[in-house]
Amino acid sequence: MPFTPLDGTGFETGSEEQIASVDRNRAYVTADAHTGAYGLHLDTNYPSLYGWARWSVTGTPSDLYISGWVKPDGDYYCDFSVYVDSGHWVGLRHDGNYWDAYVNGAKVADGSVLHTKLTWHRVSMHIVIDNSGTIDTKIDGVDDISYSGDTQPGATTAIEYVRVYQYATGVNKNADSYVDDIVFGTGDWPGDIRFATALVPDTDTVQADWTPSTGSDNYDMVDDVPENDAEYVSAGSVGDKDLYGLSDWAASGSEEPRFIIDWVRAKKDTADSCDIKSLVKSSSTENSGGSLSLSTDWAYYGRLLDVDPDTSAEWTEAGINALEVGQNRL
Amino acid sequence: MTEARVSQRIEEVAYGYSSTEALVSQRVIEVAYRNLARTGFVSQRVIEVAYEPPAGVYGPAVQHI
Repeated sequence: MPFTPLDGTGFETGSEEQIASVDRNRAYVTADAHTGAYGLHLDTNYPSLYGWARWSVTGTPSDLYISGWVKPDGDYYCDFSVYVDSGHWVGLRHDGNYWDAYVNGAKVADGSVLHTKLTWHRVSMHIVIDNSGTIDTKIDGVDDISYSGDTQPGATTAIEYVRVYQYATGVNKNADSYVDDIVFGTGDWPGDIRFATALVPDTDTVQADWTPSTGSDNYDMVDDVPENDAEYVSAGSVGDKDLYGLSDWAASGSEEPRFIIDWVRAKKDTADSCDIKSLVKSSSTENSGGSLSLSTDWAYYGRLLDVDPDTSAEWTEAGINALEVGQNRL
Repeated sequence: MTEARVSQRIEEVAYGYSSTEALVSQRVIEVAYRNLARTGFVSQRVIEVAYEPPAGVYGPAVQHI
């Protein structure tokens, strides 16, 4: 069975609020990235001794493949794990040199592939939560831990979150770990997945119903990375639709695209309901996500497209570079 | 009185609706009007591309013990 992604990010919106939207503490966007322009910084700083971020897992499966690029502090524990049954964690802890396997605070296996502190390496794990469960790991694709045993610390097997967690203990103790290119899903190992610098709108099309906050170029209102909420497009009429041309992916030609995440940052003006749909247009095929019920506060809405909607086949570089993106007021 | 309310009054007189029916109808019209008047705002549209590099090209060296 091939890998089916459930979620992932390279933090390429450049936005603190993209991270805040998934739940965090002392986790910030940073230019210290593995790939692309941005990554995640877990910045513990006394007296706040825990820096973390977590992503909810759609469908709460019991069997999950996870991969991320990590640059661990090394002087203090850094965890890369799953959160299960409302309060337990299962996964990996970097002990300064190696990633060891833990079940709810108890070490069950030692890692043996060196990950020197403050260096980027790809950390991957396959976790099955069960009384007869699994924790298998790879570092840079090299097999490391293969653990079989009880991985179910709670009453259920539901994986609720994927999380990264940095500790520092003691007065005036600080620790910094960095994370990038996180992905998780089902079916198989995800491989070496990385995220490119964000593609942003760079032209208007004939489909331009929304109103720019200033000037006459709609695309110019929505192309800032990080976000600039002082510039926006607005729509007060049902059916208003915008589509923008997109900057090209600067691939070398030999990278293999795996999936895309379509991000829209939006809000509404009153407490009454106001919905939009995010749109991507590939060739002549327009594809929209579900209705997004907006908040009166700015918020991020992301959706994953693992195939080109025009071909229903894997994405190609040419297909991505021909994309248009936009939104529709419902 | 809003344009919709004037219209409703005319409708009420012309067709002999009860006051309750007219008020319910008026409420539907007002809700529909507010739906149309709400404004949505978008300040950022971004596509993240997840990719795999060619095998063996970028992978860092790892060390076994």
